[in-house]
Amino acid sequence: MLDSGIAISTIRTLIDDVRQLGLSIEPIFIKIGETLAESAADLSGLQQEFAALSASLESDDMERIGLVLGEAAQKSMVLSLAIEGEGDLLAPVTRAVQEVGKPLNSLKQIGSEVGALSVNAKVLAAQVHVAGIDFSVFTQEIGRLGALGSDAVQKTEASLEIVKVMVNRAQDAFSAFGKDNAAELTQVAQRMDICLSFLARRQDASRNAINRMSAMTKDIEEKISQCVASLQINDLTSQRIDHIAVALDKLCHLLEEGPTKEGEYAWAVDFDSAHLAALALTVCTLQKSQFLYASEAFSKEVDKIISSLTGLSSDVWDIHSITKDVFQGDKGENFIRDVQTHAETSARLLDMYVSAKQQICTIMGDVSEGFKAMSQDVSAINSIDADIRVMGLNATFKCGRLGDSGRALGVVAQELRSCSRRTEESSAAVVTTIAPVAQAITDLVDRTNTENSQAESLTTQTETALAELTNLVQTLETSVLGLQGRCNRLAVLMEKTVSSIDVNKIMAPKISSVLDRLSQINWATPIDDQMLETVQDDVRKFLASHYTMEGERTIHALFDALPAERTEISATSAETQSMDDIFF
Amino acid sequence: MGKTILSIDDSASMRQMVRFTLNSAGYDVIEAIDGLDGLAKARSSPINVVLTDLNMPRMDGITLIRELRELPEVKWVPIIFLTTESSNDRKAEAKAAGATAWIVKPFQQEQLLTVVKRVIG
Repeated sequence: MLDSGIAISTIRTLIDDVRQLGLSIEPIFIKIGETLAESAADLSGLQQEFAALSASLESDDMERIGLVLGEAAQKSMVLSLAIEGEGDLLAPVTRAVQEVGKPLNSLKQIGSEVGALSVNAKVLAAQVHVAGIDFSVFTQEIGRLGALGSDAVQKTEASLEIVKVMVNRAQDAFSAFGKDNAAELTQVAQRMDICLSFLARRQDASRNAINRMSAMTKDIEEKISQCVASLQINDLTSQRIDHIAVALDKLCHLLEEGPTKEGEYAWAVDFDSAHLAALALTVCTLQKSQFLYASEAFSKEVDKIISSLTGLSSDVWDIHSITKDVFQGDKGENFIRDVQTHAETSARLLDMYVSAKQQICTIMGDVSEGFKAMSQDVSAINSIDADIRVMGLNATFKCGRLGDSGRALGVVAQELRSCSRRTEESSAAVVTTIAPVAQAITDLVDRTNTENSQAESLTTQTETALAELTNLVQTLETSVLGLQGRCNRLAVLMEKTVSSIDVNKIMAPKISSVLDRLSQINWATPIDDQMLETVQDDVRKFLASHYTMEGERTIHALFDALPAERTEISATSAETQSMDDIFF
Repeated sequence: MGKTILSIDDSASMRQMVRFTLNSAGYDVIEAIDGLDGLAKARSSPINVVLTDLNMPRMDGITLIRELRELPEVKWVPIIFLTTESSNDRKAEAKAAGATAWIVKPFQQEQLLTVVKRVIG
């Protein structure tokens, strides 16, 4: 046995340590692999969820909402502009109220005159003493009709006062309506435009985001693929480390048992101690190279894994951020909620518009009733006036037949007839003055009904859009929160995994220890430098069938080469095989 | 119905990566921890492809192939080696035993899927 007992026991301890090193990294890589599998499935799911969310912005429902909002904006502006001219509709009514006062005053004046004439007539009739001629009926009737006429004029005046109050109310209502509702309807239109603008911006953002997501998909797939390739370093490193342990184990057997003619190492049977020591030293040095290469490759791939997982985590945060940009408002709320809020306000404003319009309609109805009453009063005046005229005419004829005795009464009768003509003229003036009012009010009511109908239709449309928006809000919010929650969880999982991949930290001191100990193995027998140069063939024979990996053979070949010929090899994955290389 | 692949490797992390790659492409995967386990599973489950490591305890890949080719249900099933080995001697041995293809680790996902797709039809 070679006199290198210390060396052999040192190597035996090393073999155990090296094997332990290989075993310690497996659980960490299993954990990373689980994270990667979970992450890959979740990432694909996240992208699909995002695509579904984006599709909801381009759905038929959303298009319909957009159309409704656009129509509401347009119609609201039309209604708002219509309000400006509405005060003019009241002009004929106001004018009628102002102008009807004059003929009414005339009628009042005439009524007074008729009253005075009636008294005169009574006095004069009493002075007519002609047999068979009696003017008492005439005087009584004139008195009665005169009183009736005065009453009718008073009623008409009272009706006018009521109408004036109503018209003032109507003017106030129009004024308030115009001031409040024009601005509010314009606001409705503006809000709807804001909603449309929101939607359009989000749809654009969504389309851009989809494009970004598509680009990210390829990038994510590459990172995952990179991770899969890199994770295999665990298996490769374990095998390399095992081969190193096996090589050292073989060495210990050779040194302990010595080569025999019948044994595996018959080629070494003539080796003296120095030769064996040189062989042993060279094998150890070679294993150090193999170990160094394996640990460098391992470290490099672990760095790639960390980089890929960090990149994937960043991608997840990007998805989170993109989701926020597209689906949440400036305050971080669901942007559809903003649209919903505007639509709710608009619906409320439209309701107020309809109520205000209905109030005006009611007031105008009252005005119309007031004028109708006035018309009826004027009809009564006309009827009374017709009777007075007939009475007057009869009396005139009667008085004419009486000659001088009937002359004074005849004048009164003429005066009455004159009052009647004037009454007719004034009544006609009243009727003419208030005639346009009915049409104006009818026009106003018709227009109001039409606009109300439009506003109610708008309100219904807006409320329908609101109902759909509410559904959309709930669905979107749930989906967005869910997606963001999954992003959070996934990113945290990857970040935790990255921070737990301290394999390099775990491995570094152990690797360093193994390398140092390999370097420090003492050989009792002195080793000749020249001997080292000639032992290369022996090392090849010793480890010929040992290697399974191209990388190991390459290391050995480089080790074999003269120092000047040694080149750096990169600890990269094996080159991709062609299909011809793969298939038999 | 999905295709089933029998994945045999004594490394848990390697089985995990193979499963991840094949599942992502829609294949079902049955795992075995070595040649003996693989043989038992090939007998008990219908499989469309065998993907196996070469150097395993209890039964290595070459011996496994020879055993599998004796089973009527697996005789014509494509068998692919997925191994760190790259020596021509071993490849020739595998070919003679009845292997269909030989992929050297570390594998690229795309490449493994292309090979599986080609053999599975």
